[in-house]
Amino acid sequence: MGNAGSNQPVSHHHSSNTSREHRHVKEYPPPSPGKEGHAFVFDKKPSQKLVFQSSHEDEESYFAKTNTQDGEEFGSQRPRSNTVSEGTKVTDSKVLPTVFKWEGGGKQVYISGTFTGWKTLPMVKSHGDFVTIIDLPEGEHQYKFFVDGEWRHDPDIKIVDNGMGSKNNLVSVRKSDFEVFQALAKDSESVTSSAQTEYGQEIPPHKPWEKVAGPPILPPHLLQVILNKDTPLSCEPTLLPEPNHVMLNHLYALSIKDSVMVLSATHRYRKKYVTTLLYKPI
Amino acid sequence: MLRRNQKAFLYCQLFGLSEEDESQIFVKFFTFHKCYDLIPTSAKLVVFDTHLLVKKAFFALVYNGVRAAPLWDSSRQEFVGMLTITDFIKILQMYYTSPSVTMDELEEHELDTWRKVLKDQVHPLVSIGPDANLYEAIKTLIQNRIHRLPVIDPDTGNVLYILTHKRILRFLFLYIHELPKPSFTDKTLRELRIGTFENIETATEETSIILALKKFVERRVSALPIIDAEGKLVNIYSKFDVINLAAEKTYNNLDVSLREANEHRNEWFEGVQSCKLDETLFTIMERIVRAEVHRLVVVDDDDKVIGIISLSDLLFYLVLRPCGEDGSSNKDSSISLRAQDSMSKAPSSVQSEASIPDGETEAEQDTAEVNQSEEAPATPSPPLSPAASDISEPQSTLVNQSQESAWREVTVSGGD
Repeated sequence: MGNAGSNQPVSHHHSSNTSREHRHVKEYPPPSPGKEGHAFVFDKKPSQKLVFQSSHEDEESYFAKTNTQDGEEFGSQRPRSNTVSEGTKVTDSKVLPTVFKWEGGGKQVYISGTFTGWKTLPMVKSHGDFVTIIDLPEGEHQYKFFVDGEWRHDPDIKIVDNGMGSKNNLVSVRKSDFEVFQALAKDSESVTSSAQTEYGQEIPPHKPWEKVAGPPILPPHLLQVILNKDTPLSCEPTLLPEPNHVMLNHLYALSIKDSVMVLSATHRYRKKYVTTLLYKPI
Repeated sequence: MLRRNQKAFLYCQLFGLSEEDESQIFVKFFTFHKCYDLIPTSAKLVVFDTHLLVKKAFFALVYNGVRAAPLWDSSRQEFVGMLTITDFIKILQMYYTSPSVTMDELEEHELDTWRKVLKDQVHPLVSIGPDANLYEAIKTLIQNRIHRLPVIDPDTGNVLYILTHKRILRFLFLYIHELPKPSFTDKTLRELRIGTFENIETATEETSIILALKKFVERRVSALPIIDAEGKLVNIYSKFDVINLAAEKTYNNLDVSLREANEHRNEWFEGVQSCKLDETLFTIMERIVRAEVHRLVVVDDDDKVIGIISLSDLLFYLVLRPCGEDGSSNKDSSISLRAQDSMSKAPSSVQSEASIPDGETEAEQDTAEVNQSEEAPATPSPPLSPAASDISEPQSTLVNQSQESAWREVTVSGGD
């Protein structure tokens, strides 16, 4: 299981690399091979991390990164699949990339707001939610989501009455939010303070689209247990396969049954290996 | 042919032998090799804490397909004994009354409790170091009348392996064709009279298990040839077969007959391993090693049981006798450890001589004493011979079972 789990993300990640790389090459004159190699490595590292981490954490860092990188460096220059540029004037240097996210499910989700003249723009499905990044000028903007043919707002963010009997969401775009270090400091402030005050017995709500982060995967060589290998019937039952050196001096156990604990460890004595099983009542 | 002679010659030089010293060939061979050489490259060793319940310990023996386990006393932090099939037999024999009465002692005793019950018979654990030579190991096994000899690393106190007669003789056979062949191996059993030929304890198919157990304990034999009304050999019931009662959890009724008790092995059983007086020593050695049994029943031309030759008898003849160990008693009678027993009554001389180790386990010891000479010890050597004919069935059951549950890594203690 561990192996399969770790393989998949890797290959998935790889394919997304190539497609991005491809686009990159298409739009820009090909750089020198050596440089390209380096740039590739740098660029990929963070996104590799992204793929491996559990989705909740991912997304935070994903957006934080997008904000800084796109805002400061590439922002308006490189169109991205999840950036909607049609309704946005990119020429103004005062626009700020703003992330919108819909977590309420659905098959097709659009966003529309004062910034599009209430024209709907498709959002991009990512993991379990829908996101888009829109370049907005500083100030307040009202918006709403159009989910599978129904107008909805996100009850978890700031809401205003739209004077038509329903509600809109509201976002305030301020340049100061894009001061990276300030923003980071502010983020970490809230994280630490909430972490300290919020210990409790409550199980966090399960979001079906989020992968549950289990304990770290056991190093694969430790899954090879010589005691679990079949012994040919013709052999003495005490004979075992020769152990790999990484298995030595590790403690193995059987599940406790009938209040008897069985522990085992393999030790080397000169050129011989002894696997001792200790039966102990508990 | 030439090559073999050359090798034999080399061995003679290696051992410092002249060609005439043929009685010393096997002695030198076993003096040359260490106990360490017999330890398999990778093997498992089952150890029981002395507070484990006796019953669970026997099930664990069955489960792991082993016949003996060192006992670890965690308060003293040392190995204090061995648990063997002989213990199981003694418990059954001591506490069994009838099929309708549960043996509470078997259900409730801890290994420690059982050792206290046996306190008169419990000796300090006999062990040997990995660098001791095999001659010393054989001497220790035979003189202490034990069948399981733990090899203990003197630096750590850890048990590395459990030595048996069977493993030792098998080791000899790995090299036997490279050794000069002493002329006495071409002599017949009639000439050499190795084994026990008097007073052979037998049973019939109708004998009950409990009576057989009693014979094991009181006659100190490790196997009973089963004969029919005419005295012909039809089967054998050995101490090792008794562990099947634990494997099948049928030990609550010991009134059943040996015929029934042996039914479980019919599919695998190849028949009783036997030999005749006119076969040569070499043939007999080869058969006992190949069959992986602890003893051969000696029969006459009518298949009637006339004697038993065990691994202990063979090793005694091949290795200890040429060195004058305990040789006085077998002048005219057969060469049998059992015979010596009756002569000296107690292994006193032996005990004092035991150079290496110190003690043995309780139960095991018994067994050993018994079998030494005539019967092939009940417990055919444990780890070595699982595949042996009379042994094979239970063994395979064990192996299968042992694979049911899975081991997993618990902690990374200190990777290197």
